[in-house]
Amino acid sequence: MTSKNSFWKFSRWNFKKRAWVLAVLLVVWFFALPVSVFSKAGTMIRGMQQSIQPLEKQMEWAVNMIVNRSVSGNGLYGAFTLAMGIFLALQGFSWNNHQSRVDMYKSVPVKENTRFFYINFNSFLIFCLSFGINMVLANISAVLWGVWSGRLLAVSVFSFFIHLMLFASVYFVTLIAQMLTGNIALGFCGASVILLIEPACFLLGRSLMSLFYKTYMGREIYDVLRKGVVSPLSVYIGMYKSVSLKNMGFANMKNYGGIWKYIMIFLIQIILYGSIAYILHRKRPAQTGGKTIIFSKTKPVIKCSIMILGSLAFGIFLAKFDERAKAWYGFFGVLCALMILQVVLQAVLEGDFKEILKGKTSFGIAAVVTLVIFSVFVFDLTGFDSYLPKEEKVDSFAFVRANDYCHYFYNEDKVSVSSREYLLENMKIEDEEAKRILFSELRQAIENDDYYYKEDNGNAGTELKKDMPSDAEDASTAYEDGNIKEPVYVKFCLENGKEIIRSYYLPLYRIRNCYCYLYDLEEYKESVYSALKGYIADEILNRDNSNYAYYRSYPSMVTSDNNTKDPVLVEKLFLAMQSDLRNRTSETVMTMAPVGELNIATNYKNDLQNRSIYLSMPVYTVDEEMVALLKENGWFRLADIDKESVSVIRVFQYQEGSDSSKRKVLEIYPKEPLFDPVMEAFCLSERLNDVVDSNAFTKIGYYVEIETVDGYSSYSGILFREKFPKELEKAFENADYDEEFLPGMG
Amino acid sequence: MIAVKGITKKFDNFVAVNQIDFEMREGMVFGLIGTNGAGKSTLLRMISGVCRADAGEILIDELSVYDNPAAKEKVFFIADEPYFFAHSNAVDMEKYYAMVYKTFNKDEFYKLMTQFGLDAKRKIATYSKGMKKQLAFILGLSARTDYLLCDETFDGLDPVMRQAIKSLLAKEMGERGLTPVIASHNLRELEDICDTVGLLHKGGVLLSKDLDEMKCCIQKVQCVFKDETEYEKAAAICRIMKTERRGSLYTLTIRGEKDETLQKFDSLETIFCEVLPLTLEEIFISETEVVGYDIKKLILEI
Repeated sequence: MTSKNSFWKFSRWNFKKRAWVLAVLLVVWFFALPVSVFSKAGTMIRGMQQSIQPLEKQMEWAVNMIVNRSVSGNGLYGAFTLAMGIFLALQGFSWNNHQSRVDMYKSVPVKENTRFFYINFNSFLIFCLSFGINMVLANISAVLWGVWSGRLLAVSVFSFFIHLMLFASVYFVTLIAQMLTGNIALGFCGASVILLIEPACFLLGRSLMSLFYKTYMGREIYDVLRKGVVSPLSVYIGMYKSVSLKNMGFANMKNYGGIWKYIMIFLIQIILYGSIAYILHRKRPAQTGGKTIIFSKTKPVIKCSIMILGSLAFGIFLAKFDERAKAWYGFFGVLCALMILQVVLQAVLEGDFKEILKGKTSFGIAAVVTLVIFSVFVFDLTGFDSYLPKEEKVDSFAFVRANDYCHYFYNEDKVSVSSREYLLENMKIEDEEAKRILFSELRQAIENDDYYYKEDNGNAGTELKKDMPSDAEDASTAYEDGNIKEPVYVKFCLENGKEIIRSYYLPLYRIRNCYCYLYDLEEYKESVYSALKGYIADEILNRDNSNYAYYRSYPSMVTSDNNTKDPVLVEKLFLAMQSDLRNRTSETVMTMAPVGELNIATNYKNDLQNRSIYLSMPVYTVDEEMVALLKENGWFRLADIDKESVSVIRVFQYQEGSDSSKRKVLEIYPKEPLFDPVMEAFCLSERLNDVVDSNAFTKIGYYVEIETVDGYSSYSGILFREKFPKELEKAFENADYDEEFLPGMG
Repeated sequence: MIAVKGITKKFDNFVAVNQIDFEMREGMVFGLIGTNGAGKSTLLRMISGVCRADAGEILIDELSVYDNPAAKEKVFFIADEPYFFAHSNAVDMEKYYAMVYKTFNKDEFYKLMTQFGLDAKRKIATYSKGMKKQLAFILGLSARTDYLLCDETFDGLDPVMRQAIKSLLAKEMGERGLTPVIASHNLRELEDICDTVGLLHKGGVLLSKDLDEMKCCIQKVQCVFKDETEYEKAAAICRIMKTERRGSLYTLTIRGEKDETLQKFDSLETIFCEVLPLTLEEIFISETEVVGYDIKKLILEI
């Protein structure tokens, strides 16, 4: 009989023995795929009958939903695949190497290669059949409900291959862990370690940077994990994030172009890990003699790896208990963990508790490496915080204020995203003068050691608090002294493609120096304002969408008259908004207060479901086009507060002390000397400007409430710095503290 | 023929088998005996290809055995704890071995199952230890291989079964030239069946000879000397391996041919002298005592 014949003969026999596994997995995937499709499709079809939308549109939407949510894959599929990879590898290993079977399997006339290949071949076959059959059934379910499309089939096939690659990689990693260890339980632990060690390294690095680096800007966890190439998990996450919209898994076929890199990595992993598993299989002795680790040379490597990562993790954990003494706590945690892990790992690796004092060399190496790594972060030995790339090597940069959250952002798929992340990702300012100004400000801030948040004692802190003067201090002085600070995020895009991101806590005047130039750049506005983006404009200018606009003038409340659903008017207002935004200068927003805000909203359908885009822009008197249109429709009012209607002004002065906050309240009635000056200086604190924080040129620590005679209206705001009446400060000197004030209660 | 040449096997720093050389000729029953931990099972595993030797080679009919199906087809290994598939019965095992061994004879299998009174459809998990050993033996015989390696197969069988198996082995040897290699501590049984015996101790071979030849080379002499000095004379002229004394009666284990030994004793003044047959067990004890594996030492140490 040829070896080929015997391969198939044994393969069939082995498959029959493992048929129960196939049955179980078929049931699992059955519920995950065809049942899920059938259920979703049924729900959607029934829902369609109650909708007024055209049937064709609804069906199109339903098909997209089925593709996006049912067969494309999501975290659950990834988890299932991972679990199957581990389980089938453990089972396959057990067939080959379990101590009770070794005498039988290895004494019969079957080549080792044949045994290795048919057992592992069947593992793959079991996965492919269980997943593939159910994917076919899922498509049939869609056909039955009339929601099938060619795209569904394409995505199904693609999803199948992606998950097959994940399975293969996880399978071989588990097999390697099994080959290295002496039993299934340890092999399972070993597989977990190998799968997670790379993500763990990234997460630990992220945690250490976040904990000790003052200018580190934390990225989303998936952005960190997707960088890996060793762990199948990292590659899967990277692939998933590069393709997926929210919950769409691998259905976003437009993004398939970016996926090839990950497919190549997966293929390399499969070949590499498969080869290693095979080599270890050949080298592994039949008799393990009860050892926990078969290849003794791997013991110190395994031990050191786990000790280093475990000690760093524990050090980080303890460091978070006390922000001020985090370094001490961290080092203490590292040392404790080193000793505990030495005991535990020695006991496990040697299989004997009496061996805990052995392995001093590996302990020493792990200890030194861990302490060095920890020290690098604690003492910033690499100069991370103060690092600035060479100006000439920077192609473009992004400059994002924390307050930029107030802008609504949608990505190209019109999914609402974090404005900060979006801006950092997409803003690319190439203007040389802007770059020069930015670098100048940053260099000076770094030279003055004034680029991160510091506590009163001069130590770096992380909790951002607004610097509040303990007594009534002139805001301009505070501003010019650099005591008013804000966080900003800067990303440098280098010519070699590398990106460097930092989070700074800069004096406001430095930020303002950058912004005064940036704001007037078209490329900056194009980045910051989603209203200027083409794909947003497409939806808002689409008259089939339910478009809506309304205007709210300050300080009045919204009235029902200042709104429209007329698509023509909405379109005009939007175009006016775009034009005025482009023409708006930093001078305008620095020196003027908006007189109202224009809000435009639209409903649109994308592959996910009905969504809304909502834009809200402040209107200034110099916004010619918007103001003209608003006037034309009778919406525009330059309304000041009618002084005659004001019954009382309450001015609150907040004082931050070292122990607690205090407050004084002054009530000013009409006809009193302070009434007119305060009304003159009053400014609504809403959307004062969109460039720098309102506290930049208004009085810090003052808050104003205005009540009207009718009792129905009230306004709250702050006071312009330039118009701040000094008599007000004197009035407060004689005022008593508000005994009922509770800090944090407003 | 199974040729074992310079075989060494280590497990970490422990030497399980050290430089072993011998041959197992066809048509002979080879008995593998040895002290506990001598390396018998390890040796059998290496011969059957379960594990690879660190040095030396094992040839079965000139074929190297490790990972060589052509060589392994000639050998059936019955481990001391034979493995059977979970939830399986004898029929399942028969199907597996029939698939693996081209020479497997199903008729023979079912015939033996009937002879031994084992139910082929009953779950093996419900078999007793002895029944499992019987089943393993039946599978081994049915595979119709040239060599049958048995690791303590007799242990755990009742006397009737042991006799039955010995008879079957003899029959197979006569009919098709089966060569059994039997490792056992049951020297009494081995003595009945073995042609050649290999004695292992601490990984090495103490001796490997035909049983008859072995018995020829060691004699047990019971005698009464006229006086003490005669014993000392005997000690000087004979290679005494072991001396036991009860009163004036000496029982001496002497290395040498029977005639030669008798001739030497003729020159001594003895009141009584007789050469007695030596059992394999006595040979085993004597040979291992020589290398220090002595019960008296063990008792004293305890």
